[in-house]
Parts: sequence; C-alpha cells; structure tokens
Amino acid sequence: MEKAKICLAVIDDAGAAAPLTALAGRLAGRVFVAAIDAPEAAVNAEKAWLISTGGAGAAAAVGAVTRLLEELAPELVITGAGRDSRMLAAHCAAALRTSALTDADELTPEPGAIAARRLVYGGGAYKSVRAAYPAVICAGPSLAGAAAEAAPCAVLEEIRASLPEGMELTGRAEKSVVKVGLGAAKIVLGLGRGVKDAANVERAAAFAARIGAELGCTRPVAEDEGLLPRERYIGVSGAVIKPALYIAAGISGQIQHMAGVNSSGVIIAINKDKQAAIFENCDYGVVGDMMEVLDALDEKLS
Amino acid sequence: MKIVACYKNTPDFESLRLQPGEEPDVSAAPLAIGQYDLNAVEAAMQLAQLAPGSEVIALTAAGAAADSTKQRKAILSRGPDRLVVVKDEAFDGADSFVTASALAAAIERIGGVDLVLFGEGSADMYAQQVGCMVGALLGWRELNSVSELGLDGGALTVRRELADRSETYRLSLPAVISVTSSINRPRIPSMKDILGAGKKGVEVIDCAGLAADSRVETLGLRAPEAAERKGRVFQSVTDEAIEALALEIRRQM
Repeated sequence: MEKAKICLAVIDDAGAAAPLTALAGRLAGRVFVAAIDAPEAAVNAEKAWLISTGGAGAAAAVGAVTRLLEELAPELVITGAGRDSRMLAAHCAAALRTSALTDADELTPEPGAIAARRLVYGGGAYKSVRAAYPAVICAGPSLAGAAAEAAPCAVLEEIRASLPEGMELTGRAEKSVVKVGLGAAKIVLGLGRGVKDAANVERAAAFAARIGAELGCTRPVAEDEGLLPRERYIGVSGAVIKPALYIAAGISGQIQHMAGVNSSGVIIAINKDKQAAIFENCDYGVVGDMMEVLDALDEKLS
Repeated sequence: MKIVACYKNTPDFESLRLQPGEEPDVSAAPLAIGQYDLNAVEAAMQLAQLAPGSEVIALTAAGAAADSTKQRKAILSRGPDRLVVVKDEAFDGADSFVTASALAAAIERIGGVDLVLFGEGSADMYAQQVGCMVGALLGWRELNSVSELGLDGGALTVRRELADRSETYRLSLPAVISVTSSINRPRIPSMKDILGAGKKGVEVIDCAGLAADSRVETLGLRAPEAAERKGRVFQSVTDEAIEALALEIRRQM
C-alpha cells in the first residue's frame, strides 16, 4: 500500500481524535493535527496545533486551518463527519481546489490519489471515486467511531483564532442530549414506521438504553413523522453503520435503508408483515408486533 | 436586499428501479428539485418579506435540466422573482468544487448580492459541501446548519443547530448561509403561482467548456448487494423466537 506523505487531521470533536488520527497514520507517513478547542485531540501525531477560538468554534478556526494547509502542503486532509467538520472540510477543499470525499468508507491509497466509496441516492447506490492528491476526506461514522489507541503528541503549538470581521457569536447553549454514536455502537436498534407514535418511541428508547444499544431510524420516522431527530436517521448522509448487531424493528427493509446497515454483524428483524423484504435480509426474524416483541425481550433480558 | 437561493435538479431516486449489484439507470429517473433546496427558497421568500423591496433570485448550475420549462416553472412557482441558470453539460453529476465554482462565478456576475442561501445538502449526493464552499470561494462570511434566520438593522441574525449545542450569531452582509430542513415548511404552490411562474424572467448563462476541472473521478455506481444471512424467521412470537433473539442480544451486551 502506497501511503501519502503528509496528512493533516482537522479535529473539532475530541471524541473522534483517536480514530481519525489512527486512520491518518494508516494512510500517510507523517501525521499532523489541527485540534480546535480540544487540546486532548493532540494525539497520534508528529506535531499538533492547538487552535483556541475562545468558544467561537469551527467558523473561527477556518482561517487558521487553511493557513496550515499552505504551511504543510499535505497530500491528505482528514476531518470528522459532523456539521462543523463538514464546514472545515469544505473550506480546506476550496483552498486546495478539490471536492471533499464525504462519508467516505473503504479508503484505499493509490499512487498519487486515494480511492473511496460512499452511499448516494439516499442509500440507493454505492459511488466509488478516486481523488487526486491533495485530497480531503470527511470520514464516515464507522471510521470516525472506530476504537483506536491514542498516544499524546509531544510537539505542540498554540494558535489563537477569532471569528472573521462582521461575524459575532451572540449566544451558545450546550444541549443535554447524549451524542448520537451510531458509528461506534455495538448494538443499534433501528425503528421504522411500525413504531407508530411517540409513546412507542419512548418505550423502544428505554429498551435500547437497557441493552446498551444506540437508537436509529428510517427516513420516514425522522422526516415525515418527526418522531426522532435527523441525527438518528440511518442512510441520510450516505453513512454506513457497522454494529455487531442491528435490530430492525418495524422496518420494511427497502434497499435504500438496507444499504446503510448491510455491513452489520448480525441482523435481527421484527415486523408484523411476513412479506416484508427485511426477512430476506436478516439472520433472525420474528413475524409479530414490534412492541410486543421488544417488551418480551426486555422481560427476558432483565 | 438582493437574495440568491441556490438549488439543484436531481434525479428523483425514489422512482429508480434498483437491481442489487447493478448500475442504476439514473438518466431514466424524472427530475425533481432537491427537497432540501426548497427550504432555502422558502427561507429567502420569508426574509424578503421582512425587507420590503427585496429581490429573490433562484440560481442553479445545470446540464440537461437547464432547458426544462417544467423545472423552471417548478422553482419559480415557489416565489423567486427570476431565475438564473448556469448551463454546461459538465454540471450534470458534477462534484462540489465544480458546482461551487460555477455558482460563485454566477453570483459575482449577478452583482450586488447581499445573501446567498443553500439547503442542507443536495437530495442525491448530500455531501453538504457546496454552500460552505461557495462562501469560501467568494470569501464571504459563511455558516451552515442554520435553523433560524432574521434581520436586525442591516445585519443577519442566525441560530445554528448542532448535535451537541446551539449557537446564535450576528453577521454583516454579504453572507452565505446553508439552512437546515427544520427551518421552515416549504410552501406548496397554488395554480396561480404555477401560471405566474411562466411569466417570470429566466436568464441562461452558457458556460460550455468553462466549468472548473474536477480532481475527483467517478469509478463506478452500483446498487448495494445484500450480504449472505442465516434467514431464520419465526412466523409468530413464540418463546423459542424470543429466546433466540435474546441470545444474540446478550452476546453483545
């Protein structure tokens, strides 16, 4: 495998620092880190720049990060997949006059380029692409959420950054919600239209919490019914998840949804319609009411 | 205020027939306006109401869709005063950089633009890159994930919704903003809107051969193939079924 020479990992979320820098190390000979408001993200690298924005966030760091691109001339830039990461990736890509490979999976270095694959058309197809260096990668959740060792970085340099003129942060509120870790979860409980209402979502969420599962859902549950936030919608951004166990509850199993979960270790399907396509694509299936089955499982497992 | 709302005509992939492992025939799918782009158009119309005398211009970079009167009417019936289409075959299936370069150049050519709005991502690729990139290329203030937009004096007030926090900003214009799908409910055009849309101005900028070079090559497009699975399906909710499922769950707990 031919590695890139230099990779800059741009980290705006300390939680993704270890897997993203470890990935950078697999793809490039020399790894550097730009850690935005997250000194603990300075890991697995030859040198890290600690960009402190005083809480102003990614929008303030854009200038500092693109200046680092000029200094380092990396062949690869790697970011996470969150909204801030995507913003940073877009600015890096614009500066390098290329397009970021977003939600990239199956990264393969080639001489002078990197190949990757992602889901497009709402999960309807895999698109394989090859980006010539310098290339920008927004790692998909299964890469950004993978377990990895983190060795602290010895060489650090601090950069102070502020928002561009004419842009002022007037407020900021942390949310109490637990971060959605679909990429890292060992078990994912996916809810389809069969969940019907908010009360059932709550019961299913309680069950998921008890078995240590992360909650996901299909497009209609998030977009049409608004029963779960969009972060939990599997397949929306072309993201492929790879839990050890995927439980599809009340999900019919359209190809668009299955594409996002096909890489799961074991798939359990629960659906009251015995004709549902999901039963052709599962390891274990039960024909029956999803809430009845989840309740029975809850009882059995507690 | 002069507001530009960008959109993309994409193949309506829900109507695609998918054969596992085969290349979907995207060209057979009918065109539709990207569903998230409608949020950008609606946000533009609502802001224009707050600033009387505003003009809203719809903007797209398109190949085959550029000449479709049906698609032109579809976007103009959502309210914009006029439409600018940057046309080159290279824009069909173009990557974010090629698209963003064309849009940024068109925005400069339109001139005097105060605000450019994008949806959260295109319906087909959903890379969520083009809005941020247009901001970067123009060198304007730029934010994505915006869930509320308002005007305060001559400045823009925005709320950004992120997975773990929300932020509010005040921005001077000009700016480029990518809105979330929760910012509004796009209007459904009335028959009057649709009839009126045909009378609005359309400017086509022929860019044949002028598109930026892409550095990302598409190697292939394939409908996903299903993995081999055990396929042990219990036809009713029996103790044996629950036992089998519980065993698999316990293994991962």
